[in-house]
Amino acid sequence: MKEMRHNVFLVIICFFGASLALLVAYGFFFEPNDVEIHDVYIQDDRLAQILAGKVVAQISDMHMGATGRREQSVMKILAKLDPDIIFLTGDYVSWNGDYKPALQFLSGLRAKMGIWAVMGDYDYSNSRKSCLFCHRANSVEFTDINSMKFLRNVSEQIKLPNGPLIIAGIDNENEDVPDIKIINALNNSDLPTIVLSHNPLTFDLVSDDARLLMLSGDTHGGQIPLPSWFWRLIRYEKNARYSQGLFRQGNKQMFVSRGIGWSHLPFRILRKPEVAVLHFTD
Amino acid sequence: MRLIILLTSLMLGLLNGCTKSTPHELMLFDFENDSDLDHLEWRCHTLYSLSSNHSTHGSMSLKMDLFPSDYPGLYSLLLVKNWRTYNILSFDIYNTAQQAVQITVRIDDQKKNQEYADRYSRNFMIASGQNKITIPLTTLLTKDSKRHLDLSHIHRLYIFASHPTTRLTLYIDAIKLTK
Repeated sequence: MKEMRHNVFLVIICFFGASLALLVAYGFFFEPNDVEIHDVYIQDDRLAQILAGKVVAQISDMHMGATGRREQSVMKILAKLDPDIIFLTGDYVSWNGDYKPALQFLSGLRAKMGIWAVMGDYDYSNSRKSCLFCHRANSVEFTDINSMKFLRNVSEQIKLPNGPLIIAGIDNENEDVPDIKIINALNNSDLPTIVLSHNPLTFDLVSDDARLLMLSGDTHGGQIPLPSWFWRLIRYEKNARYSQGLFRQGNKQMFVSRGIGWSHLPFRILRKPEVAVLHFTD
Repeated sequence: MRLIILLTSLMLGLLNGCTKSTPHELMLFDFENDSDLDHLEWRCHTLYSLSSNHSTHGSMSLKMDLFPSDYPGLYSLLLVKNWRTYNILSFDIYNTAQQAVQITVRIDDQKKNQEYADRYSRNFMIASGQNKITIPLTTLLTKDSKRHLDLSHIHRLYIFASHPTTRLTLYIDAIKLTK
């Protein structure tokens, strides 16, 4: 009887041990490369009027060190989607890493109506190399290796068949000091507006009355599900409040993407990398 | 007698160890190597490059092309943050324009971005041609004159033009601290 109890205990220990090992293996080797399409439905009649029927994709937080399975999956998904617009919300490189793979990846992106982007804090980890996103090396000439428009605390109005759309970008070069001029301009915008901001905490700086959609990233959805109090404890306020998904406050809305890559640990559980596809409804 | 000599030598040795000597001059940037450019914050509307023109130390200087914008200029990442043992900050600056241009020197003693009133900020007129800027460290007061900068924690040194309306080209060399 005693031996049987001992055997049952051993089986339970083995079961939990094996489950944990499987979970860790899944988190390290499978989920970080399992890029999914995330359909996001955004209720906004003004944006719906202009963008209904258009394929609008958002990519965030590539954190590329090299081009691998994950990046190839993203390219395959985009080729299948054939997007009209791509929005990129920063962190294309790993911290102070090689910029070449990211620049190569970005040069391969195509969208029928255009690609707009902002940079994240990681992209400025080597400020000299960060210039290469827009410029030729050691030159003020604009690069021709990619076709995207980087928005650094500026907005631009694009004319679409159903009306004008404002696309603004809030820069993340200095996280402590967001540009107040662009925030004020957004607060007073009368036209349908989409704002790109790598850091989701910028959402708090915009007036609740401003009718706009902000697209953000930076959090990776936490990479694993953890409670808000934990993020607060380690002073990750952005994860505590805006870890992932859609947020609404007053008239303003924000979608925070889980992104594609990872930082700190190559590990994801229940937080799959995603290419977000934005659908606008009345 | 031997004991006295031994003890005196020991005391002198200890004293020498305690008063660690610092060099008379400390070069913060001499812009001789390409790696110096990695210690600058690269921002839009300023292009940095090394040049053999207008060098005052070694064979190279920093060429800065400033384009019309808010505050283009030199934003340095300081490797030496303790300036306490020095008395003067100086640098050489060459203005290629025919007329004088105004530059601002900003120095912060805190890591977080400081309010305008709580940082050192002073304007200098740079005449056409070669200029030398000398700033005694005792004059590093905050803009509101309420306090001296903490010389043991200098975090930022910025040298920039304010809202230039045309492209400016400036050469900077030998940013140094001296006793």
